[in-house]
Amino acid sequence: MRGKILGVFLSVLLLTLLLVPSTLGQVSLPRNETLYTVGALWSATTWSLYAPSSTYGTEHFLYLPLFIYSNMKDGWLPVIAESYQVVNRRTLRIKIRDIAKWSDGTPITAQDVEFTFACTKEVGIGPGNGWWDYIQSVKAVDSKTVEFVMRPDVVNYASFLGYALGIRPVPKHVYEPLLKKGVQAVKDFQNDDPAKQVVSGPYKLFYTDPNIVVYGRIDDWWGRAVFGLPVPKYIGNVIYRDNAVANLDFEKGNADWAGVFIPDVSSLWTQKRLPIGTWFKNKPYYMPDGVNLLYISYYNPLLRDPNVRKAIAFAIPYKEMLDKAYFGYGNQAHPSMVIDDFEAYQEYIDRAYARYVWGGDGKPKTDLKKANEILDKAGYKRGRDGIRISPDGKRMGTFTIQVPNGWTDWMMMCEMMAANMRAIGLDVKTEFPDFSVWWTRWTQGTFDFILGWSAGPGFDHPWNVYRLVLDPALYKPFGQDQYGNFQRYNNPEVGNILKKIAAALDPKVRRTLYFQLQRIVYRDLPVIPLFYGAHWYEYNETHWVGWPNAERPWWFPAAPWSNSALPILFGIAPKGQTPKVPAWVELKAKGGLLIPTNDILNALSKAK
Amino acid sequence: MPKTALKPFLKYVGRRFFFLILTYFVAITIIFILPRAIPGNPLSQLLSRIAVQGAANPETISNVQKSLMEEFGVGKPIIVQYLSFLGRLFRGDLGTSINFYPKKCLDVLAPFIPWTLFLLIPATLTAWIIGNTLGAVAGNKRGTWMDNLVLNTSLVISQIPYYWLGMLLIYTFSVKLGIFPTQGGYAQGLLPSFSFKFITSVLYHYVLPFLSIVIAAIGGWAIGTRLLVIYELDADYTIFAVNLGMRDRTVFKYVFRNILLPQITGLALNLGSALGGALITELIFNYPGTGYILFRALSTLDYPLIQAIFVILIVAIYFANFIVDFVYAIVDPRIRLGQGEGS
Amino acid sequence: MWKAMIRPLFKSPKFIVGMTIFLLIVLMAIFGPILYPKDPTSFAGMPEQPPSKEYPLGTDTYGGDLLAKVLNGTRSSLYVGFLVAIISMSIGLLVGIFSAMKGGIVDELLMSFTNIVLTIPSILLAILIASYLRIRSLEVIAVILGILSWPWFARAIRAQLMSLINREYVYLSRLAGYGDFRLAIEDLIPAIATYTFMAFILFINGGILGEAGLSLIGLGPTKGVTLGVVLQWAVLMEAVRRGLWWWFIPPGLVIVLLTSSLLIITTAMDEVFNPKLRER
Repeated sequence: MRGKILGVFLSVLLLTLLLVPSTLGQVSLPRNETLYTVGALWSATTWSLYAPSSTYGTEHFLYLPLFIYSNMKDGWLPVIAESYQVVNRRTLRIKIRDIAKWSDGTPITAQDVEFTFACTKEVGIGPGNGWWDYIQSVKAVDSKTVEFVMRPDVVNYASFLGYALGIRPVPKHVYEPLLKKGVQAVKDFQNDDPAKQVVSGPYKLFYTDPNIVVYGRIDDWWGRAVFGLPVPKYIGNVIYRDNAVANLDFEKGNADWAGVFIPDVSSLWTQKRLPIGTWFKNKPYYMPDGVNLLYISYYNPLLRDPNVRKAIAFAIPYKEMLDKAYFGYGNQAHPSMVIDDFEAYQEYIDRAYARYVWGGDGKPKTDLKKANEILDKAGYKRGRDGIRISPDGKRMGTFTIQVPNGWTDWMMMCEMMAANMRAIGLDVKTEFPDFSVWWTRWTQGTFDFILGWSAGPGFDHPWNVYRLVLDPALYKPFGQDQYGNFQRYNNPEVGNILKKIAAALDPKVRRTLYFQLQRIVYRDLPVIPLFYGAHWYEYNETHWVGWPNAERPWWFPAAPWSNSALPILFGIAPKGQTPKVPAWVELKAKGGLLIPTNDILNALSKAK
Repeated sequence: MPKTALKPFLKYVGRRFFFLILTYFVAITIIFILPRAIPGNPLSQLLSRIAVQGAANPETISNVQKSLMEEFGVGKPIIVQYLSFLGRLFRGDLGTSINFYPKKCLDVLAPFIPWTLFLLIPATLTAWIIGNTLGAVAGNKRGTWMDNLVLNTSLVISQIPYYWLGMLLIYTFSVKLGIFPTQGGYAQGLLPSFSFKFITSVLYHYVLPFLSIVIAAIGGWAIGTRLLVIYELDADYTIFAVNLGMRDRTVFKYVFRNILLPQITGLALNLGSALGGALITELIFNYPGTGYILFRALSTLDYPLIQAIFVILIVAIYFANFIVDFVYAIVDPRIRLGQGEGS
Repeated sequence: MWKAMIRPLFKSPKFIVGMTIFLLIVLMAIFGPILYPKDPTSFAGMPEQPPSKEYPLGTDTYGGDLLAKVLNGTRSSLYVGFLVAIISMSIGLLVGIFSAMKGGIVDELLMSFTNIVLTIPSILLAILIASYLRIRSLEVIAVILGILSWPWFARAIRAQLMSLINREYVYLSRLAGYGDFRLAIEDLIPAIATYTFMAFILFINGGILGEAGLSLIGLGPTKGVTLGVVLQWAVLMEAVRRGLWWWFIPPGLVIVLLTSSLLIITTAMDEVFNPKLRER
């Protein structure tokens, strides 16, 4: 009997080992040449860009865009592209580097770019998805020059430039044969054979299993003449079960570069004395990465009154929420929805008017007395149970405020907001449904209060936030799916202003339009801005040093999950060596390669 | 096996086979109906991933949603869907995962399954053997200190959930004493290969999860076997044999053989819960088995993948059941000799 | 009759030990949250503090008071356990009695149904069903577990009744013109009462452990704190590997004490009432 057991045991062991690819000659990755990232917690899917979501690394290390945008420097790094040329107000030409080659030696051409867009339109998903709403045509002028023409009926520079400069071309000679077989063949292509991968970036797939994805550096990468080579020879992205497991491994120094929520992060260096850092040494520790809002749907007629919304804005315990639930990782958002932590965006805030409406420094302070006064004045009388009655005689409740179950920091914030709303006489309860239920309610507008995200810093900020949150073009009836305008705010005036902003090239004109928009936002309060979500970025210097931070801000976005963080790999060094920041990460005026967004806009406005 | 006995044997095995197939259809049908009975947007996780990944423009999300709805969408009458679901099952096509899109569910699952088998089968059998031996010895020495020790410890141990025992083991042996690794199937940085370094790393990581399953499962088997032994020792045939002057050892041998039969059936019935326990244990140890992928599928509501996992797990359990039935039919003399059927 | 049944129980040291532990935990579950009225879900203080005077069982990552969580969790876990037991006992009794009394085709059908449910691995099916329910109250969890765990009991009840029915006095009752239902109430139920009681206890055990298992895989109740939910958070926040023992040891210990005390009670009862197991 026991012999049999041993037999079963050994054969299962053997089976396991045989099922695992044993063709690799290498047994382990050398630690001093491998950078371990906590970039994404989901496992490998596909290494093709024609998928709703590709494996972490595909956009980050394998397929480069024409330009990489840095929101901190507000500049564009020409990667596959070399330069741009404005032909007229609707036409932009981009010149591709002569040396740019796919990893199989084929040159990267304008035809590749043209094909990428055409293929996306045919497949329905892929790089540059939705371009046809803004761009009339993409054409190869010659083998290294591609021409973009904006649609005459939709003048939207933000989207036009976003699609044209940010596209990640795919190799035409790989995808065209697939497309000929049919759309499904493109969708099914997983591009998972390291030997057959044709990429434009400095890495390609080296090894993968459900626990890890390893990328290996291409030592004769075409870009080395311009950019040099990225320092780590291997990048290993371990697929952790969840944040907590990842955090622990990161703390131990098993992972070097993380972009995850870590509770009470400062204790890692103040108490545990670990060589770990974030962007700032002190609060808020992280850069902002988007505006999180309290969405109040127009679904429930009782919540349509701007007076009620304004009272709520004064009732929210902003500071307490951020300190207790968020460990101080963000600042209270400006009511205009503009991220005021970035200097470049400050000019778009009408500070005087914000101070006039909200008092103090322009951000509403928690003031229950004031909130109560607003409601009293608007005719909401308290009922016997302390809950207010609307002027037309309806009880103010029961409303629910919801976030997905398990999002503990946001759950705590909801509890705090609900408590304060009850204190001003609104009957509000928390509800923590499953993610999919929450998502369905959010995108269909069928909710009372939802704590949700919007958009983040980008060259089109704050337009990107305003259009996502307010655009009447995204208005859909309650119960229909729509990502955007979740609370179903339908104001044609806002639509007009948004269109004008998108078409404006003169910053002064844009500014006036933003100011107009802010007056409407403060009047109607379609949403209440709460706080800036953090750009999760942490580094552990046990094995790799030279990371950018507030003291050495040589590149941002810095999180491993950001698809604009590639330059970081060129400026770090193994511990013991001196890191060297590449010169090209600077703006042109400072001797680097980055092209300021305003240069492009100016060139467009000067053209005919 | 004499030729005359083949017919009842085949009849028994055939009946069991038919029953298992029937039950499997019921299970499959439940698996098919459940997702269709409850509304919700299973694409939400995938869509939100795109939304927060930076490409947050509404056009992308709407286009992707449209494209995926067509692919996963359901427009046909339910009976047609059911038949095509069964048809695809027979061809071994378990559909496309939502979260691992465009990977097939089967491709996603395949690398995880050997790890679970590798953990579950040896651990369950070891526990079964040790537990039965302990229980039999205790039952035989009824009323002695040894019996009391085995019974009382078993009563407590059998109630320790696998996963909690796992937590205690990790805390004691990995965190406090630092003897064993805290998690995973093998050391980070190793590439799976047929090398000494890799195999020892796998075995090293195997110890604690294996132990937590074995220890937690021993108690239940010991209690059951002890009771059976006591019953059998009181049975008429035993008393008769003892009175005839048969030696205790010989009597015990016969008794042991008799109690093995119900314990084999017990093993089959227990496999489901053993698997459930192993899945959670894998989760605690971050062991790269089916429990891990099931957790991921559940937490991202990847319904095609959840369905596929259950279709496979249940088929595995039924297959194991059938093997046990087969062994049972061979071991049980009543079936072997064609005298009725085992209860 | 009851006296005669109960008295020998209190001579069994096993029974006394089991019962004492069980009653202590029940008392703790009932009065604990009243005597220690902290809200288990709110922010109590500094996160991840080891046990201290202020927080007898320490705090978790979000500053929740773990003693409050364990006390309330024990209460909810017991509640789920009892509900599961009531549900599975009722179904089991109904199916078992009906099957035995009616016999024939009804018996055949009910028993194949029972066997099918018995063969489908219940924990897996519970996970599957729970995964489709987005909002899961304690009661929903109990129903899921309850409707899956009755089959073995139904089979046992049927077997016991069958052997009873064939006895003479039942035959005589039938001759006297008693209907099936009256027969069941007056004669048969007392005969299976002890057995049912023991099964009830085992169902409580199954319910508590089942809830903990579902919670750990992330499918526990979406509102409310149970012992399983406390453990789940300990796992999610890596309490074990980070050495926060006060987070995962107490809830697990309560589960083990609770379920093993119940098992000890049934074993003791079995020894007292089952003639075969009485000491020779």
